[in-house]
Amino acid sequence: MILTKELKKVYRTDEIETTALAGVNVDIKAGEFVSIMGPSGCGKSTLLNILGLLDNPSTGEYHFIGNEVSKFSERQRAGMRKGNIGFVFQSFNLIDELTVFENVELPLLYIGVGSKEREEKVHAALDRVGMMHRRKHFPQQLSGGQQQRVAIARAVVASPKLILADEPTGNLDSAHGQEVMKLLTELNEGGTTIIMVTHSPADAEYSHRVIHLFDGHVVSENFMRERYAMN
Amino acid sequence: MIFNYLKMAFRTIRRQGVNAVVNILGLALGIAAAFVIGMYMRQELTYEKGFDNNERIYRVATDFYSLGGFAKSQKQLVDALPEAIPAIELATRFDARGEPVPVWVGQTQYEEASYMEVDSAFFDMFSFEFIEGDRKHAMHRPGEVVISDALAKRYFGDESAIGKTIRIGNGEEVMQISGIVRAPSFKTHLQVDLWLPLAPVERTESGWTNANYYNYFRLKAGHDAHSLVGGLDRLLENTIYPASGVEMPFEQWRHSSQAVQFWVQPLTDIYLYSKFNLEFTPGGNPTQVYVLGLIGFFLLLIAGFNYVNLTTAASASREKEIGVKRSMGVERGKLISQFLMESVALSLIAMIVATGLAEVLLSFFEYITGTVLAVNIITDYKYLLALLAFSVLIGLLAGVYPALYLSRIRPVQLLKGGGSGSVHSRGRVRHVLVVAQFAIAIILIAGSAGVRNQLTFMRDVDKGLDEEGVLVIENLEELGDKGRLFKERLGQLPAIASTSIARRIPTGRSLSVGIYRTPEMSEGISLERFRADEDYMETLGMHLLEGRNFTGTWATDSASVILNESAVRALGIQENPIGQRINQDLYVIGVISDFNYQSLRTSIEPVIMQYADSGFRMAVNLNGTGITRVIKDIEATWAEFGSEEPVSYYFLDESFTALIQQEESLERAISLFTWLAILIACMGLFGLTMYTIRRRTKEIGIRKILGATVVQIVALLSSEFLRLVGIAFLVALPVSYFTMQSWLNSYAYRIDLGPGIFLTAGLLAVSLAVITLAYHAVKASLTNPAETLHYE
Repeated sequence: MILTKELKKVYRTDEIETTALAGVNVDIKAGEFVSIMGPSGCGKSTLLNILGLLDNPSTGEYHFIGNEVSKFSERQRAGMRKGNIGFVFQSFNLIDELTVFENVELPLLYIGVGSKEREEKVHAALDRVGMMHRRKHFPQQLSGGQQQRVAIARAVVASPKLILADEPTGNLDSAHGQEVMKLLTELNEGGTTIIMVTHSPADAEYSHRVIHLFDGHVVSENFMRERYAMN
Repeated sequence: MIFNYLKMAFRTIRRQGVNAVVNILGLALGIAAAFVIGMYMRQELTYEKGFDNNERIYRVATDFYSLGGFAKSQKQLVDALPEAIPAIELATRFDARGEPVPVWVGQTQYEEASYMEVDSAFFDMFSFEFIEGDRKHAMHRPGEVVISDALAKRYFGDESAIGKTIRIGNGEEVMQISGIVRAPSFKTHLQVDLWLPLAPVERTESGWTNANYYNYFRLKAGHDAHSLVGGLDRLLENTIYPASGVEMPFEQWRHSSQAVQFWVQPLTDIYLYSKFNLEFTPGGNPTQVYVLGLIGFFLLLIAGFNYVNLTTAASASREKEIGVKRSMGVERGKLISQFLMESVALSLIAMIVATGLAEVLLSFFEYITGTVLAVNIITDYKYLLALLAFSVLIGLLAGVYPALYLSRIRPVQLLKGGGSGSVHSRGRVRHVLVVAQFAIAIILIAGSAGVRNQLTFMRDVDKGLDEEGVLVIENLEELGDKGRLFKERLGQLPAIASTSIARRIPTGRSLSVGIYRTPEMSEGISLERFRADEDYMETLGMHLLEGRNFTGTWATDSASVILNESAVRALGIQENPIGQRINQDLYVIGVISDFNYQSLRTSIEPVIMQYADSGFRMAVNLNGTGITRVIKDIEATWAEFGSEEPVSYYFLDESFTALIQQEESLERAISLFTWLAILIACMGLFGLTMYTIRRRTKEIGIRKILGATVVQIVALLSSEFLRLVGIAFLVALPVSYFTMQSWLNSYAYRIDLGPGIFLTAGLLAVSLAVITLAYHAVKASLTNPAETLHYE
């Protein structure tokens, strides 16, 4: 599903050149649940942005569902994102002015799903995360864990093949964090590929494989054998 | 402390960059425009206010035979009125003839157009300041003149002019200068450069249907216009009515068209409001004064609203400062005064900018309205002080809401990092202000479009005649009895289509009215009389509807009259006008379509045309080729006829244009300030969009990640403001409709208010808003969401 070859990302300001990714090769199959770990500033977020088609690499190849996308324009990337990728953020990133229902509905609006079908899909997604009863609330009326569940519902509502989660439990206490991880595991078991950036070894436990990044390099890949074996 | 506030203000400006510039420039534009308008209003509304006892001075205007009223009145009044009204303390009269008077200083001849002839009481009543000479005794001895300091300088340079002699008029009458008048610091309609002695007026008791002099009366303290009105009524009944010799009873006479009428005008109202015939100086335009006043107020509102909006919008970035200060125990009052001081500091900076802008705006305003404002902002400390006071006031007013709002924020709310509890209420106030700004802008756009349409209509309306290419030659009397011969000679010039000798030309100042009746009518009505020769209709392009033209021979034409449609209706002979007898011995031979001969503000009066083969004016219809050449030919022909004076002429279309000069000036002034208002409103919108978008950066990022396109984002960001502009349109619609209606109702010939003007105004406002929004909206929608979401 995802294959990168010698992925490099260099940020240039007037004086300083920073190498965020220094030739990253990853190969992620459909249905995998992969964690990316590493210290702050190691390039985790940069990699996630590129994998999520929010940004282009400076050099290298990126094959996403069989397409070489590393040279795609913003418009092409946006087109590829739609319906294929869902995002979950540490800070939830819900829109305060919209209700839970409207937040979850957004991706469907932008891919042009009809209103009846939208309602069905939003309800299904909210059901799945157990937030149906709060669909008329505004984000600020919810707890952090509830907000993240809404964010997950939004990420899955358009049935994307890939979900990118950037420290999804970072702003949550451990009980709520576990809930969220369980939800992600369920999604993965349903066939959705998940790539998650995390600092938490406990969260990484839920994934099949952990990619460790350091200074823009992949330094190790560990398979969580026992869990992988369970499948 | 104040220094500290100023320092904070400057830092705020530096930190806010573009926004501060927008904020200050908007405020400065508002202040500058309001200041210029204020100066204009002050000038127009304070005419004569510098004269001592101006509130007790009145002018008497008159009318008779329903001629439309005269600024001048009867020559008997100055003698008769004080006898009838003991409350009159002083009476004076003056006269002015239109043409310039020759003045000889030594061997040099000057032509002075700015002069009047006054009696000995003139300078007692009007307290002009005398630089030299004695005002109390000026003009009391025969052979004395008073001149302005400007004229003294022109005639005698730096030498003292007092006691010197000059020679006046064609007779070179020797006069001695007995006073030098300083140009008044206030405006007066009596300002001239040369005051000549008025020839003694012989007292008569009969003949009250004249308007020979400008008559002014000063009342004793404690009396008002009522004493004058009462006295004039008594004069009317006891003196004028018996002298008229009519047989009808007094009450009937005073309501008939033959009666003499009087108006008592306070001195201070004359310039702006008096619109009689024979006004000494052209008056002001009260509509323009008040409309511009309103616009000035609007401009200040718009600029003030901007200020409030941008300051409260910027407050998000100051919430931390406030939170910290509050948590350190700074009281609310201190915070309020801090924000007020900052606001004032900002408005003072705006004032400095405004001073420069006002100078530019002032000359621009003078140029487009033709009104010269005697203001020099930079050098006159009074105006600088006024600007200063004005700016501080604006700063305080505009700062009150942001100060109260910001100081109300509770520290706990802020330091928690939320502070968003009041987002909605704050947004609402801001929305109301934006709606108000755009409503005002739309009203102004619609207003100036309406005035412009009316103006175009007045220019293009079918006047019932064709003034294009018509030249009017004046002073035909210079040629003695050779007028007809001159006409024939001009007729031979190939570039001249036709010529007509006339006593009266449309738009001209000459008046002629007669009382006419059909045998069926018991009482005559007054008709405007035009006397001209048989080529008048052709030369002026009038349309003959029925019957025939004059033949050009006195024998047959002397008993013939031609009526316009209005006169046919007024006389009630619509059935069969041709051949109708008018008065004793006149017969209708033709009917012409109504034609305009005065401002389109008034409707066309009934007109009667009578034949005349002599007159003081000649209309010449040029067939449009080689105007310079024709004029040369006319001048040469004129010279051949032996006149000492050069030929004097004007173009008829220009004098029609002069009739709508007031509307043109109004239109230009409104346009100028309308564009300013739009500019300021758009500047505000520009700044506000920036803040709104900054506040919504995260949202934009999320939406983009979820698949929103650039167009969708721009639409989202614009729709909020466009909705406000839409509401503004709905608010503006009724206001501008009714305002326009009431303005147009003062015109006899006016446009109909279709939806076009309002739709155009709304559309223009929306387009300008979109253009303003577009910059920030497009910029925001192009930002990579990965950046905005991660580094929050």
